[in-house]
Amino acid sequence: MPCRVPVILMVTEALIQGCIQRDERAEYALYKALYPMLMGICARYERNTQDAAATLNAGFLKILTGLNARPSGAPFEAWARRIVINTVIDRYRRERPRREHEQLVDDPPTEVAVANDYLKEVEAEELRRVIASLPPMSRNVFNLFAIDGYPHAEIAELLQISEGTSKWHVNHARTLLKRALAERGRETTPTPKHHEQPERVR
Amino acid sequence: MNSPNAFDELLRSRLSELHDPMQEAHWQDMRSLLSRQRRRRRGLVLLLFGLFAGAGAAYLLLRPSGETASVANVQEVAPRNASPSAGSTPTSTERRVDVATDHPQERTTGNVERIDVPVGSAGAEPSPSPSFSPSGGSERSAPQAEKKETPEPKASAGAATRPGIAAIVGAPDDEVRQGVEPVALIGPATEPFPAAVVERTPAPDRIVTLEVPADPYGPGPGTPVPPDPLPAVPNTSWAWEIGLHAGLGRTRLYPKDHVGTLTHGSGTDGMAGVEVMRMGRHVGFGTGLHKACFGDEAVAQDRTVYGSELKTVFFLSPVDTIVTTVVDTIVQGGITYYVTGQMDTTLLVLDSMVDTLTTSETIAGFQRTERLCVVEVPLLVDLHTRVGRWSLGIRGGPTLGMITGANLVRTDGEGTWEREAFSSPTFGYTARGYVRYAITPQLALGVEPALRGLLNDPSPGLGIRPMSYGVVGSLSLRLPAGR
Repeated sequence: MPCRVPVILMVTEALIQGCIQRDERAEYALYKALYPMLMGICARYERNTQDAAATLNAGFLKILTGLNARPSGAPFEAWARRIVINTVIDRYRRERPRREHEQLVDDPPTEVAVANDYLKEVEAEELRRVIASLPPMSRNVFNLFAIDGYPHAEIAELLQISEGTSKWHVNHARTLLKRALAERGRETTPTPKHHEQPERVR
Repeated sequence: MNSPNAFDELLRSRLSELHDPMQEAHWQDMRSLLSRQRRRRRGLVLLLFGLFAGAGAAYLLLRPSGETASVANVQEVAPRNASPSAGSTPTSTERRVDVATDHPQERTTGNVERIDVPVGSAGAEPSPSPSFSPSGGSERSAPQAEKKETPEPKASAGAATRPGIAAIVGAPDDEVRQGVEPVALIGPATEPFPAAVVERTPAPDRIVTLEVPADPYGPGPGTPVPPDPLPAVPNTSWAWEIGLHAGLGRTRLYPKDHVGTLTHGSGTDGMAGVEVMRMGRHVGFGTGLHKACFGDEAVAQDRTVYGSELKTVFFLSPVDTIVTTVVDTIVQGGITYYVTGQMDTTLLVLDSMVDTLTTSETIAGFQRTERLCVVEVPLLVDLHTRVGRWSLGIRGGPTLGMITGANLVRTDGEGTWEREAFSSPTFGYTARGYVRYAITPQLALGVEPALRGLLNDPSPGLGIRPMSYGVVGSLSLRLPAGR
């Protein structure tokens, strides 16, 4: 179960050198240090923990094999994030159906205030579950754009879609998220007594 | 970040609170992934190293013994007094006989005996004896050829008169090497053995080095017959070779570290080809046409797919409330008073809500054979050596090809599968080691360990990296040189 502890990366140059020399203890330490961050990324993109772990391991393998070739001067954390996100997207591209029957339609307006209120109160793990319930393409585009900070042009290139489609997916995902959060927010609001809040009686 | 959207910012900050502690099970998966990848790399390196080491060792062990034989057969002969002025040429009292057993086709002088004999003494004519003259070289005949078996003191002059004798007249070895001048050719041009060079230096102390051709009439009675060193096929010049090969190999379509919903094993499939090579003594180049198939066992486990949807449901919601009712009526002075009473009661109110409906679906697993076949044109380089009828070598190079048939399974990531057929160009490699035996001077049969694979992913995003290793049998036909 995830817990709320600040992520502190303890990746030192000595640790990286140990990994380059294939020291298993160093590899374990690096895995342990990167795991929270990388698992956080993978869990946002994948629908279940098993898939997230498989993607994480594939990404970590690429990190280990690419340690020698990593660009000098680039922050290690950003480099590792980038590799794992690329791994996730590669995997998605491999496995997505060639023809996606997704109809681009306008979404109905959502109760933004309720969604934002609930967003402040909801458990982060629940929030992750809500994101995981989004359609795969919208989930990926939204994650790339809103969470990981990729521009639309790069997303379009990565996922082989147009920039307009990328923007639509972001809006679509945002609308679906707000709607789901608003619904959940209403659910969790205690049911009022009839005489206390007669206006709620239907 | 791209978006100043408040919702996104809030979402990002909430998600950043998550911290997933490491799970040891995931690390164990990672370890097995790492060890698989390293085993694969080690295997490849060992295979290449083994191929090269094997070829090198075989070359060293089995190479033609000519170079070593010419040294090994040197016989030191006791000093003799054949020359009347032997005392004045102490170095010339030694007689060496070197028997070269190299391939006759590879030597311009043929099999020769090399005999160093004293030449002349003080006052002797420094020019070669008559027997060394261009004309005289062809008169004498073979008997001297047996000199290496029973060295006789007076072999020198006689040997020099044999047909095809190569003779060097000159100073001791160092002088001979440094500044000899060719004098004449000995031996008729029609001889089966090429003529040799007669050289002379004016130095007073001279050693005549005779290179005596091997006996063209074969060994005499009682002479031990050396093993047949003759190669079965011409070995000196470039010749065309046409070869066929076919065999079986263990194949794989996906890399071992492939991460996917399907589990992939290895399969067995065939490979065959025809090649045309331009073969030299140790190097060859060529091309051909290869057909190879790569098979794979794809296994999908039973899989449960979860889905969720939002659904509006209606229900009766109990609402506790107080109902005021008239319990009595009092008329007083013409005025009617109502006496009320309050009663706690529960009302059922029709309500609605949006519920998340979670569904699960189990998709049955399967086991299928996936197959991909390619036709390739290789660009081949061949390194080989030959000992008698045996030849040993390695051959390989890059290949360009086209997929002729593919039947793979694609997963859509949501748990369903579909067959996919496609065709696209390929870029790959092929490598074989071979041991061949020449059953006739032109025809050879061989057994060849083979390795081949593709370097690009020819599928539309499936992530395949086909490779196979196995053994093929080969039949090669070498055309005579010059054709």
